Amino acid sequence: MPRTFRTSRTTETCASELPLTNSQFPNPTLRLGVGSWELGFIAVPAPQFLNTLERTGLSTWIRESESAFAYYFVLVIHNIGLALLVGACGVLGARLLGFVPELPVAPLRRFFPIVWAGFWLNVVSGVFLLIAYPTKALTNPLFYIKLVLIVLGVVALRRIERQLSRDGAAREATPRVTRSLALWMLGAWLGVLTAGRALAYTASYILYGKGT
Amino acid sequence: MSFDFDHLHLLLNHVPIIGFFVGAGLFVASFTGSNDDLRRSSLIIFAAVALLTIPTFVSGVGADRSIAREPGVSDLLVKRHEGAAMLGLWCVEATGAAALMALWHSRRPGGASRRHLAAVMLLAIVAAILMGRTGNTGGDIRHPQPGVAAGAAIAEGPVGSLIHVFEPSPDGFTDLMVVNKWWWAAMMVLHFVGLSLIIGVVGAINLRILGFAKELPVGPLHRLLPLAMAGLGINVVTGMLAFIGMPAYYAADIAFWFKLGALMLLGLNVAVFYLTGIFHRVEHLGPGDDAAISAKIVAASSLVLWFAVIISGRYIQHFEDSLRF
Repeated sequence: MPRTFRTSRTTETCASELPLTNSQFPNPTLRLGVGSWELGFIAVPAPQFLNTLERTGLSTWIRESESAFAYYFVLVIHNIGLALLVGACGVLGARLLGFVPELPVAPLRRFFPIVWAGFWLNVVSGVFLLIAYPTKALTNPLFYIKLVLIVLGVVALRRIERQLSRDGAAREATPRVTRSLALWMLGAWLGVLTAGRALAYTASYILYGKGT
Repeated sequence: MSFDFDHLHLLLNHVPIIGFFVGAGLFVASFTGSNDDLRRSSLIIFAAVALLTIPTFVSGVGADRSIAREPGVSDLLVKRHEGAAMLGLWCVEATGAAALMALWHSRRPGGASRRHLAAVMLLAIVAAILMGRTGNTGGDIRHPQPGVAAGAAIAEGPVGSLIHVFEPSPDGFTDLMVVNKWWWAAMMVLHFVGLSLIIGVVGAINLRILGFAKELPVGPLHRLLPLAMAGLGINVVTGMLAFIGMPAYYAADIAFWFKLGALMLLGLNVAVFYLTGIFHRVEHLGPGDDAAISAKIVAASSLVLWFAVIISGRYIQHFEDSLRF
């Protein structure tokens, strides 16, 4: 007889981004909280539009389709976008922070189209993920932290891009302001990535009225 | 879909054992007479074997499941082998990482420091001993020593009992990885940070070789590689910890094996790039210089394979339970 292996319920809850182990909650009241730290005494009613959105055909299809081009395809696009955006920004940021000073800065401008391609891939795929699981994201404070950090990262990235196109070709020594912008940008993307990953595994609610 | 992990494991398990005995022997021999070529070869062996140890380790779960169906197999012997493999794995990976760092430093004048080489030697000898132990405990599963009945307590020799002190309990290790969802999330955060470091640096170098952003000189761009090596180290550690957390989940998944296959091909890709002289021809390319077609083929295949790793890794959940063994 085959021995039973360790795919306990804890494991599934940890690894799965799909609602495998949800217990039905008695009413659609949201408890505010981050993951398991629920502040039970704060309760607000869940907005009805989350329920409406989850019942639309597109939301249901992305979430429930067996097709390899549904939910996991959107996740693949989101992951490739992350690799392009954070990867290229990582190289740019490392150079601006003084890593490998003999590498010329000006030609790194050529990587900006890749950075923005990654960014827009993730905006579009992110909207599709939000349509698939609106309650999961919108009831988690981490999602709003993530949005704020995205704005910070984009502002820093735009300012770096402007500085490099203005005087990047003229001088190779990195001004202090560019170094702090690079640090700001890398910190923002690290925060976005952390919030996004934590969102997948520690959401309080997966679907409307269904907690973890 | 059915897959014969038992035979895959029996085939692969020779690689870390023989690899580390031969590699450690050559490495020690290279110090008599300071034979640099021999030392370089043994460092390359350590790195290559560290890579091949990953599929050896994970195929063990499948083999474990097939062998557990057979009557008369002692569960204690299987668990002892798993514990030995879990200890040996980290030592082998640490040796591979130290060997890669030594190879990186060997390009500087003076080469890697004596302290660094001493650390590689110590790690390699310990890894060779632990691989021997893993092989012995594995062999005992099918051919137990006379007098050992299924379920009976295992008698250890003096060396075995010493090593056994450091061996984790396989079930305990597994439980530890999945005990807390924040710990799991933290591992995945690190895995994605490592992914970004690898794709950023390796992608930039490959695109430059392919002719994109030609104003960049290849040599200085290539000096960013320690960032990618750090990313690879982070991802091997977090990836193997995640595997230990849910071994049967990953081993029964075709996307996981596709990802491992792409990683093995990437090892081949790196070997072709650095060991056939292609790297020496692109290293001194300045702004505007065009790379040879051979370098472009290697760069393009590296890009394709790294994205195959990301895509198949992301599809692991979709192909859950796709393999039977």
